[in-house]
Amino acid sequence: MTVNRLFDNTTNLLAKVMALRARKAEVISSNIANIDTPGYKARQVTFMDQLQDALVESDRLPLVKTHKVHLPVSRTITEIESSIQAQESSLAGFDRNTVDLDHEMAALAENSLNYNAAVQMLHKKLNILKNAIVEGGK
Amino acid sequence: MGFQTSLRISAAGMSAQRHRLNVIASNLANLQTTRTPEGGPYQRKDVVFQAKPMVDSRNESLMESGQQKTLSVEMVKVIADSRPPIMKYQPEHPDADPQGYVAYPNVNAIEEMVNMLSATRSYEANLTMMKTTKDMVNKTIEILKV
Repeated sequence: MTVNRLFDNTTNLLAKVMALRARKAEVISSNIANIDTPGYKARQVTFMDQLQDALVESDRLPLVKTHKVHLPVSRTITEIESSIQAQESSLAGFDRNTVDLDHEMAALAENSLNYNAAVQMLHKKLNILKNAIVEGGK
Repeated sequence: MGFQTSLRISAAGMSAQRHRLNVIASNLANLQTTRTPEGGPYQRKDVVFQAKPMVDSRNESLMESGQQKTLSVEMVKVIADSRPPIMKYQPEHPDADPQGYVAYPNVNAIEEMVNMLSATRSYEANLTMMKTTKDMVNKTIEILKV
């Protein structure tokens, strides 16, 4: 990636985290909007495991897929996609709706806090970069 | 996709709950109504909600993979409650039948109050979601102010 000359791996990671968290916010809003829809199954977004794997993998030598029948190599950070699962729950009400509002509101708070933390870190990194450029010109 | 979608879904959720609240208000207001344009006592109304896949004109092809579709919500219709009317013995009432019974709406005030609270809470949850999304967008815009 060409932007790597200016931005390091952490910046890429933060950008990815922001994109995944935005997707998660979308699914949480969908769950909350459908809290009174009969038969609606609450859906969850997962990506943490993949993200962890990609981070561990990025420290090793990269495996390259040289033939189309090769097993998929572990993904890099930029290739991670969120996966969505519908949740079956024994707590479903008589209308078979499985949205748990307390759970969704907690997930919402956690998601937005983590998103804001990523934004703050990106902000700091860009500030550092700007400082380096400004000071370098003096 | 992203924050605009989130905001649109929350807005759809709020709109659906507001429609539901309107119907509940109509039920409560007509608690004692024995005459309607269709004839007979007022019948309790209820709403039907349905999860609706979000359609994004920009990248519709990306959203074809069933499970990954983002679901919004919409109120599809207002239905009439088929429970029988509540009969009260009131021979002096102009709408009383030959036996002296008046058919009153099949509305239970307590049931409506519970539904009203439920609709209000759901509306507020959607509103909170919308506020949070707005905060996230504002934070993102601040990155540009470096």
